[in-house]
Amino acid sequence: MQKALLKVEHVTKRFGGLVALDHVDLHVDKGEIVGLIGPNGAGKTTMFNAINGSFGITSGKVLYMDQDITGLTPDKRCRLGIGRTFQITKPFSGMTVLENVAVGAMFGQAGKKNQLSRALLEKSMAEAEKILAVMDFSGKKDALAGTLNVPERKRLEICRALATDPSLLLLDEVIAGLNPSEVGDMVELVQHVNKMGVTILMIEHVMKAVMKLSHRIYVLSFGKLIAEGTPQKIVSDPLVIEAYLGKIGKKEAEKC
Amino acid sequence: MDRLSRIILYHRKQIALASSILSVAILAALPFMVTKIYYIHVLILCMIYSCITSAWNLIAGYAGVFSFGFQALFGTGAYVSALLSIHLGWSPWITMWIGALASMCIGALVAVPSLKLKQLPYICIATLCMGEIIRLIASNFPQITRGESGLSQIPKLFDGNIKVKSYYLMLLILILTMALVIKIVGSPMGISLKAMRDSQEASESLGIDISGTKIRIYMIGAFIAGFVGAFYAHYMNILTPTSVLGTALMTQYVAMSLIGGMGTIVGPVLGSFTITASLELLRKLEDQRLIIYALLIIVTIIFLRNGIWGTLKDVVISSAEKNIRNKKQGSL
Repeated sequence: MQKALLKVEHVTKRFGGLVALDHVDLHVDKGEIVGLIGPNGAGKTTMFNAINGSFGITSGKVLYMDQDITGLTPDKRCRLGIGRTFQITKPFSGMTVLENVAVGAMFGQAGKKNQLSRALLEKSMAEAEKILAVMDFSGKKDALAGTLNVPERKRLEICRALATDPSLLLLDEVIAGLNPSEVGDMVELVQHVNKMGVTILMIEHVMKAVMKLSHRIYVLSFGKLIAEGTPQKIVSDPLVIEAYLGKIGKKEAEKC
Repeated sequence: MDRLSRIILYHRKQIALASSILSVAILAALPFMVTKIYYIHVLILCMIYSCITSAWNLIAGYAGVFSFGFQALFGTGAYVSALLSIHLGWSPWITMWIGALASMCIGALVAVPSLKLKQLPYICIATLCMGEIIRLIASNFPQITRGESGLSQIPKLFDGNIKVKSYYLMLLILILTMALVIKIVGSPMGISLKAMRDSQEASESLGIDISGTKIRIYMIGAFIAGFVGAFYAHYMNILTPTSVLGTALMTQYVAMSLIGGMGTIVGPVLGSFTITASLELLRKLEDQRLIIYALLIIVTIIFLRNGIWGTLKDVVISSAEKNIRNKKQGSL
């Protein structure tokens, strides 16, 4: 049996009277690509925030490599190996692309760091160069991050998260908003990252891409988990069709 | 012309090093050239403001945490050192360090509200209040601090030729402060400060310990401000809560950073020197010089958003780049 890398147990998150996540259980095994889908406002990004620690949860537990990480801050979780990207990209706009990626290498990897060490800075820059080369992004390394367009910003988010040397990568809508050829590039990129040994949990609205990439899919609706399974099983699930896909969406998803 | 552009673009480190050595040499030679002791005094004030403004710029300009209570840290250093040397008779050379350490502790305390508060206006209000609390403490314990009438006859650091000796001590403090600032800005810590300024959420998710970094940078800034404050106390020999803890001091370091250029190394020093010197030289105009001061701030904010240094740097670098691009196109 495969060991779960990430386990989310009975997680509930309330914002005042709104229950954004309602006793959700999910797990991600090592090496998988898992999709997290659902209508807008279903709690997908809230789930990411709960996993990476951007905010505390009301009740429940988050386990990573069998370790309870529920109370840890995002920076500690990052150093344990959980990387994430943001749906609304958050580049460090005053820095170059290379520096952006170097931040991940500098602070996000495991181990204690001397913050005044010049050697750490140089090592991280070198690592960032390598990542940019692998991700086919070297051409932009000296551009200020604030000047990038949307697909480039999304690519930067991934590069930056990869620089932290993650075992688990949370991708929040890295495909939505791209044009068809860019979608193809991004799908390849995600597969490439997965082959490098990174387990992926991704939120995505572009069904074509989710179907193609995911080994398993979870469906959230109004904070509740309504379905789980292989892409084939999900598209024919009546609950999912009613809550999210609709009849046309089902047809499109089946075509993939 | 394009040779010059090339030098500007590719040898920035060497230029920076050469010009810092040159400025230190000029500053070190000035007491021999300037005969009027009053000018030496003005230069000392310039250097004092340079240190405070540079320390504040680390926190506000680089980390993006706008603290409007920084004058309290300067004042804490000044008061602690002065009180210890007056009441306990300790040497000011020792109490200066204690003053700086006390200021560092207060700095850590001021940092705490800014950890929970993520939005700028709240941080401004919280830090401003902390600053005022410390001023009120100093003015409301007349038994110890003599309240608003202030402390006088604070022990001096030197005997004989005080101005020139103080000048060189202050120059040394300024050099050490700038060395520390340059070291921090060029290190991973400097990068984490800039990252936090641009996006706290992203920095956190990339492994930057935001709370730890904020507290650390506050403590470093507070130590510098406290030490310089203590120097000020023993140099001026007089302290009042309004002069070292008042909000007037705050407007000064904010204005100096803005005019010089926030988030740059040179900006705060440049701002401190230009403003302090010009205000002192315009002393004849008395309070009307404050009008000029206000005009300067308004003009900078409208026309030079990056301050004098930031704008200058942008113009020089972009014109050098343009020069080289044109040259390349010409040769094709």
